[in-house]
Amino acid sequence: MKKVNKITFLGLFTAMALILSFLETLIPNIVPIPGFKIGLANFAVLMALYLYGFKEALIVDLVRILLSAILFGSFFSFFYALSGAALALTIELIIKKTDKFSPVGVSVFGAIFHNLGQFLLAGFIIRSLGIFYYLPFTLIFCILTGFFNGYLVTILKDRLKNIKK
Amino acid sequence: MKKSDLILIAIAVIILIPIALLLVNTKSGDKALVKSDGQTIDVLDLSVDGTYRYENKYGFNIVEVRDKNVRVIEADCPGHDCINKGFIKRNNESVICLPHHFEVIISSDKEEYDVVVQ
Ligand SMILES: [Zn+2]
Repeated sequence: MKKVNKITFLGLFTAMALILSFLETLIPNIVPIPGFKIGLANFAVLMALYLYGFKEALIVDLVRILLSAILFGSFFSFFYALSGAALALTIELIIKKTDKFSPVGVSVFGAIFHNLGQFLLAGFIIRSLGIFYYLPFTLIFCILTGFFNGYLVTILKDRLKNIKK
Repeated sequence: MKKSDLILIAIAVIILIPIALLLVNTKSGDKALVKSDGQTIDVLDLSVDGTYRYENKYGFNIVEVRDKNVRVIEADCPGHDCINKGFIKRNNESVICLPHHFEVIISSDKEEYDVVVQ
């Protein structure tokens, strides 16, 4: 029963992440990196991380990235999204483990490294640092999103604790 | 929220806001470097309007210079992120086409920032 419950909720989180990913595609891209997003969908991933754990958050994130690339992205956007997400989730896990930050800090760190991951990959592929011109702007947007994601998770994680029963 | 969360956000704001303001106040450039795979393949004078076609092994991009602004108007890349970027004009601003390893970056021989000190 517990397992069915968990699968159901992870499915819900994935669906939510996918909806948020779709909403993000409606926001004009401020930087010409395919699949660059301000990170709304990370809310659902963070929820999975706080309610279950790293493995579960990774599954939600991977399924979201794969499905959103198929539904509203491209082959390229899949890899940029993946590189950013992998770095972000790793950092979030490390920062969470230190226990020095609330979900807000964890989320903001994730947002910063999500940005850096995508910019580094883009810079490496194009062999130019020109793209980094946009980094301060995207960081401001992504940190704002990260702040709200983390704040929502802070409020919701305790209220939703009993879904695991 | 914890104290360290606030410190993190404060540091980010203190570093990022001035840099962003500085970049927004950057002067318009007077030339554009066209790069393919990191190599400069052309230099465009922004005071001369025109369209230019570049092709490499990944595909083609057509660049337009108009009224000291630059944009990519046509390309055969997936997603067309380079076209959607629109016009750029400020020094160091760039438009990239990642699938084509193609980049146009604004440059200038003049002083970089507007002097706002009275
Ligand atoms: Zn392009």
